[in-house]
This record gives sequence, C-alpha cells and structure tokens, in this order.
Amino acid sequence: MGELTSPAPGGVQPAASAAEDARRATGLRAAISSLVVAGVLCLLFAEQIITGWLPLAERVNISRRDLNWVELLVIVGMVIWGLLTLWTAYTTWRRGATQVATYFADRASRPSPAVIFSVATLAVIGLVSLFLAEQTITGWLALGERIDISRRDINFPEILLIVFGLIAALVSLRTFAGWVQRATPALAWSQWVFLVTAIIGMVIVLSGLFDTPMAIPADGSSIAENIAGLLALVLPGLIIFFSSIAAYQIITAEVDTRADQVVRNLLSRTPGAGAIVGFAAILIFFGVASDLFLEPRALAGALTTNITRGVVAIGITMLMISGEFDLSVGSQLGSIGLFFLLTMTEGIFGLPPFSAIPAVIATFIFATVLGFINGFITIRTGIPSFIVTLGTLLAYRAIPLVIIPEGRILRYADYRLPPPTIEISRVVILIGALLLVAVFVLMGRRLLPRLWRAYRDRHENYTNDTDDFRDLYLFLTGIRFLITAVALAAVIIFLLLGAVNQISQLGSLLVIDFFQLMNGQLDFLPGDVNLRSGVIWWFSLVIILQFILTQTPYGSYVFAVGGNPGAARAQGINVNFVKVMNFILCSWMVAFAAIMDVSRVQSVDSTRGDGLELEVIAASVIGGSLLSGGYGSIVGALLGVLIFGMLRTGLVLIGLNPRIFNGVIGVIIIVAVVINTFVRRERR
Amino acid sequence: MTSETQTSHETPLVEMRGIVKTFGHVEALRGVDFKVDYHEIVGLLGDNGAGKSTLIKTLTGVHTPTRGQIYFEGKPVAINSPHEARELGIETVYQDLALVPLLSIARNFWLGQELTHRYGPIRVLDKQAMSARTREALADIGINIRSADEPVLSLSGGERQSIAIGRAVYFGKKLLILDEPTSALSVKQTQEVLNYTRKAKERGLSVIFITHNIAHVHEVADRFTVIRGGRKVGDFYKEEVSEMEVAHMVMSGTVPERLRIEHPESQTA
Repeated sequence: MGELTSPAPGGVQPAASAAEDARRATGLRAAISSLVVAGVLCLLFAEQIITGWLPLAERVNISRRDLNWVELLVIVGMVIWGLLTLWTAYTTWRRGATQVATYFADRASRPSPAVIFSVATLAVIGLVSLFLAEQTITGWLALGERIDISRRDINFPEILLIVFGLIAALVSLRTFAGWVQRATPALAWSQWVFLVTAIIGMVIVLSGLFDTPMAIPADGSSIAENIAGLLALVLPGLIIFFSSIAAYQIITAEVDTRADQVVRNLLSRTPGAGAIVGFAAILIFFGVASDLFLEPRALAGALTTNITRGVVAIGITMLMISGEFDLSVGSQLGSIGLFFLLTMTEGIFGLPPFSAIPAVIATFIFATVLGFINGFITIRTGIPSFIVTLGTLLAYRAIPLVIIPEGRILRYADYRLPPPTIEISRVVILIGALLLVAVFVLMGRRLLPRLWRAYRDRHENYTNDTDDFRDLYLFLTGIRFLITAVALAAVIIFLLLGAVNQISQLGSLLVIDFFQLMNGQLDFLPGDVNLRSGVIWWFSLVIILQFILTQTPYGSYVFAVGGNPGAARAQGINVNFVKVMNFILCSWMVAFAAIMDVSRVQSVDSTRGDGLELEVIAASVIGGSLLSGGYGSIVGALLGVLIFGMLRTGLVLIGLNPRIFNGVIGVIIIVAVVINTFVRRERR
Repeated sequence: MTSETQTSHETPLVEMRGIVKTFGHVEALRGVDFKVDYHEIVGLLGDNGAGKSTLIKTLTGVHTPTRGQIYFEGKPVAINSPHEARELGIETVYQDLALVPLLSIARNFWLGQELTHRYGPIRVLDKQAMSARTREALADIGINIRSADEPVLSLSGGERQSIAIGRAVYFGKKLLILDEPTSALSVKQTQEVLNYTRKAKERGLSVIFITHNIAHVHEVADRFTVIRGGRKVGDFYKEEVSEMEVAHMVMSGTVPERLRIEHPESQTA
C-alpha cells in the first residue's frame, strides 16, 4: 500500500536521496505534460461539438444553432474540465510540487489545485461507473420511456459490466470520501482506480481506432479529409486516458510505493510475466478488434483446438525446467496414438484387443518405455538431450510410418467395433460422490469459520478499528465469506443430488462412452459452442503439475536439477533420477494428449504430431521457461499455448490472412523472451 | 588454539594417514598425513595442481584413496560416497555448487530435506515454516536477510557463501569444508565470509579452508597445512610462521631453515 513520505505521526522522514529527487522531478514533469494534453483534448472536444464535427474544408459557418441540451451540458462540462486541468498544470508547474503529501499530513492545509483535480477525477470516475451500471440495467432508454425499469434479457457480458460498474463506483466514491476526510489509505486506493481507468481509456481509444474505416468519407477519399470523424472516435478514450494518467502521476509524484511498481514486482516474481502481459494484451486487442472474439463460440474453439499442444506443453515445461529437452514429443504422439488405437482394435504383441481401461494402462506403459529410452540415453552417454531426442524424433516416427501404409488413415470405425465404453458400478460412484461430499464438508468446516471470524472481528471492532477504510474491508470480508459459502454449498448439493440419482438405479451399471469421456463435446453447452471434455482434463493437469512444481519437494528438486545440478547433487538429490523421471513424465503427458487426440478424431495417420515439438517449446518459452533450465512455470506454458490459440482464431476473425500466423508467433516469442529477461533483470 | 576441557578432544576430529591416490600412472597424492582438531580452522594451502582438491575429495567421498586410512572422531572410516560423508557430518561448500541461483533462499536452505506437511502419501512443502526457520537460523549466526523468499540470484557472492555456511551450521555438521570460497569475491565480501567462518567455529564446527592464497585465510586460520606436488610440505600453527613464509612455501615447496627442527616430517627427500 502506498505510504506517504510526509512525516507520519511518530515517524521520521527519511532523507531523500538524489535518485529519489530525480524520480520525483520526472514524475512531476509527466504529471504536468499529461495535464496539458488532457486539458487541450477537453477543449478540443467542446469545440468540436460546437462546430458539429465538420471536416476542415466545410468549417465556414462555425457556430451551430441546433444544439440540444445534452450537447450543451457536455460542452459546459468539457470546458470546465479542460480549464481545471490546464489550471492544475499551470499551478503545479509554478509550485514545483503537487502538495498531495502535505494535504494528507496537515489537516489545516488548503487543498492545492492538484489535489482538487485528483479528487474531482475520482468523483467523475465513480459517478460515470454508477451511471454505466444503471444504464445497462435499464437498457439505455430515453427518459420518457423509462417506466418499466428492469430488463429481463440481460446477457452475461452485461452482467459483468454491471458488477464491474458497481464495484468501480463503490471503490471510487469511497476513495473520494477518503480524500475529503484526509485519510491516507485513499492515496493507495486511488492509485489503483486511476491505473485501471487509464487502461480502460486506452482500450476505448483502441476500439475507436478499429472503427476508423467508418469515418472515411463515402466518396472514398482518405481519412485526412475527415479528421473530425477520427477525433469523434478517439477523443473520449484519450480524455479518459490522459486525465487518469495525469491524476495518477500527481499522486505518485510524492509517494514511495507506486502502484505500477507493485505490479512490476508481482510480475517479476512470476516466471510467466511475459506471457501474462502478452495474454492480456492479445485478449484486449482481439476483444476490441472483433466483436466475435469474446463470444463463447470463439473462445471455446481457441481452447478445443489446442488441447494436444496444451497437455504436451505441460510435460515439456517440466522437462525444460530440469534442464533437458525432448524434441521427440511429436513423433511420440504419433506412435503412442497408434499404439493406443491398435491395442483396442487389433491387439498388440499377439494379444487380443483390450477394452478401454487396460488399453489406457498399456499405452502408459508404452509411453514410459519411450520416455525412459530418451532419459536413459541422455543420462548414460552425457550427450545433450537435444541430440538424443533429435535421433528418437526420427526413430519414433518410423513406427507409424512402417505400420500405417503410406497415405492411409487408420480409423476406429473401420474395425466395425462398438465404441469403447467404461462400465462402473453405481455403488462405486455413490461412494465416490459421498467421499467428495465429505471432503468438501471438511473443507468448509475448516475454511468457513475462519472467514466468518475474520468478518465478525471486523464487525465487532468496527468502532475502534483504526483503519481508515474499515467499511470497505468489512464489505470485502463479508463478500468473501458469502461467495465461499455459496460455492461450497452449491458443490455439495450438486454432489448429493448426483448421489441420490444413483441410489434409484443402484442395480444397474453406469456405461460411459470412453471417447466421450476423454474428449467429447460437452453437451450441456449450446450446440455451436465446441468445448470438449479434453479442456477439463487439460486444465486439471495444469493445476496438478503446477501444484507438484511449486508445492512439493519434488518440484524443488526439478528446479534445483535444472538450475545447478552440482548443488543439487551436493545436497543429496539424485539428479539422474529426477531427469529420467521428467522424461517419463513428459511422455506420460504425450500419452494423455495422444489418447485425447484419438478420442476426438478416432483415427491416426503416420504424420500425426509432426512439428508439435517446436510449437510446444515455443509456448513454453513464451510462458517464461528458460532454455537453459531452472526456471519456468506450468501456468506460464498454459498461457503460452492460449496465446497461440487466441492468435490463430483472432487473426482469422479480424480478417487478416491466417498465413501470417507464423510470422506473428515469431515476433511474439522474441518479445516475450525480451520481456521475461527484462523483468528478471529488474528484480535484482 | 582454543583451550579444550573435554578429554574426547585429545583425538583429532579428522585424521588422514598416509593417503595415496593414483589415477592410472599419475600419482596425485604421495602419502599425505592431514588432521583437523575440534574447533579448529585449518587453512589448506597449495598451488593449482598441488593435490589439495584430490585430498579433500578423498575426505568427502568423491574419490576413494588408493592407500591410507581416514579416522573420523577417532574411528577408522571408509567414505565411499558424498552421501556417506554427509552422514558423518562433513559438509562441503563449493564455490559454484553451493546454491541454486533461481531458487529462493529458503528452498535452497532446505534443499534435499524440506519441511513438509504430510497428506497420506503426498508431501506438501510447509513454506511458512521453511521461510521462518531459515530467517531464524541465518540471523542466529549474524546473517540478516530481507526475505527468505528472495531468489539467491539477488544476493552477492559473499552472501551466497554465507548462506551455505549458515546452512551447514544449522544442520549440526561437524566439519565444514570451504573450497576456494573467497577467490571470486571483493575484499568486503571476503571479510564477510571470514566472519561467518569464525562464527561457524564458535558454534563448534571445525573448518577446512582451501585456498591458494594465504592472504585469504591468514586472518581466521588456526593452523596451515601446505601441500605441493602431492606431498605435504608442513603443518604450521599461525603463531609460528609469517604470511610471507607461508606464501613462499606454497610457491617453492621448501620449508624455511628455522622451522625444520620442529617439523622433521616435512623434510622430504
């Protein structure tokens, strides 16, 4: 949280260093220039309304006669806002300080223009958010028609908008009150409000820019003919952006902990900083550029088409962190997929065909062998795994090439077998469901009292709580308790209903279609949303392996083995075991992916998985893994794969030639690695 | 020397007698006697290739001696692997191999012996306890760190050595072997490492400080052992010799005239 440098009660003001002074001066200059830009933009906005957004050539008769009262209101508001901004810039420039710190420290001091500007900005942000939420609920109706206030057809993005608007309004207005009461936490809160608002402003500018083709005059001349049209698109966003940036600079020019520094510190602790930034940027970019992108249909497509990549990337990341490579994952996918299909259809090694579960077990044993070969050769010979797996890349590919005749596709359907199924006694499911209920009840028993106590403590101590923002904290702790309680209750009820459902038909077996289970359409979703169960498996694996990596001793060993094998060995860690284990783990992930792949298309061909190795290594690197080992995260790899998926979908949706995909990916890899390196350097 | 009251301390902590190590036809060690007493810092000096690393590696189980016997706390022992050396209480801090730079201080500190919660077969790291106890343990010997969750990367070379020393002290080791701990450090950082070496001795450890530069160890060592060409040149208590004399012995392998009577074994043919 932001701390003031002004003398706190009982505190001693630290001597400001020269570097600190320089930083302040830079902050001040940034504040003043942002203020000037924002002010000029406001006046420009007002002027354009008066003149009616005319192209330059047509601006003979300047003043309009037909201004309606809304326009008048906006003109007045913009002129006032612009003048306030410019006045603030002038006084701040003359005084050489924003005096925000003084304002909070000395109750008798008069607010400086910079303070007034910050407070006013907060109030506007709060009111606009409130207005936005209200209008979304009532459906942007004209005043005269607003009899039936509530709407019935609010969709999901609108609900998000309403919730976000209400929270933003709550926080901004509460912070506004904090400024009025000169309560220091307001400083920290307003930093975040301004930072978020600035980002929103930038998004609005971006979305305006994407609509520029509409601003081109109908006669086909260039955009230069219609500067006013362009202005109309980007001015609101620019004003929001520069006003909030100016306010942000004002309040951070004099505080110790800047919100963006906090964000940077947080990012620098995560290996996937580049991936997080890239993910957010790409999501916002395509979300703004194409209305279709944030539709469930497009998002589901981006997920479903990347299940294989995503699951294999988990294994490769684990392996890369321990300092090794596996280039053979693509070939492994081909041969393991073939193996799995053959075990179920023709039978392997002269054995009869297996049913689904034994086939899965056999497949994992086969994968273990492939992974072990990679690991064993690497460990025993000391040859870089890059070379070893380059060899097995070719060798493993030979398996499907030899077995599947040239150009053919081996289909499950060709064998005229019934779809593979798993039969489970309903008693087992009943017991499983009840066990899960017990687990969640236990979880609730441990978690809920703690959350409730946190809320109750805040509530009971409310009157003598010294924190200035006690009301906001009270509200947030209450919400946290409620959400947790409702979520737990919902899960338990869901499980209990399922259990009751089983009891009524306890005698029969539950028959599950194996292909459907592994990677079938999730049929409770609308038909055009192609989300498959493989996505659930993928995300579960991400969670499990991220947990292993960050929360268990084995995870520590993986990092240590990749980061400094000598030190790991000196501490008694079996380096070779960890490495071979990770090769096998990587092959298991490939096996998982292969089974899901076969379950989806129900066929294999000899080129399945070609080129996969480079894609997953790229995703892993975008996600923050070091090629040299010792650093990385599974969640980063997930984001890396999602960036891949969003780009593929997004480029098509905004109408660009999808062939530039590889070019874009190439640029992104380099940018992501640069960001990761930069962030890591930052933290030293 | 520190005065000892316990009788058990009559015998040295480690004694190596007549250690010979050959690699094929190369004789790396030609019968070296070496000992470390309790609560003693021994500076093991020698030029590159003198055999000091080979000697230490026979003690830490990396090499097994061709001939000769090692006694630990008076008992003859055969140390066949680094693991067995660690079991005995011998901790080696290698300059580059001490810590994993990208792992946090706490995780480095507990590497290989993590504190965990057990949930059936699953062991989950107890990160809070690991961080807290790392801070305590390091503060105990005077190393104050900002946070145990910082990566080792953010520490200076001297701080890294110090943490490795702190780890050895905390885990109750008996003998700490520092392999060229200060050769890449600035003067100030060297001083820090020397301070913690002294702290380790105060906590009851014995230390072997390997270096080729007498200036790095003269301040803290109680005794010097000089090795050259696979043979021991001599053992000298700090009071007996000057820094210059030791430096000369490391280079030339000859013992100054005035010391020869006291150390007849050093007059090799």
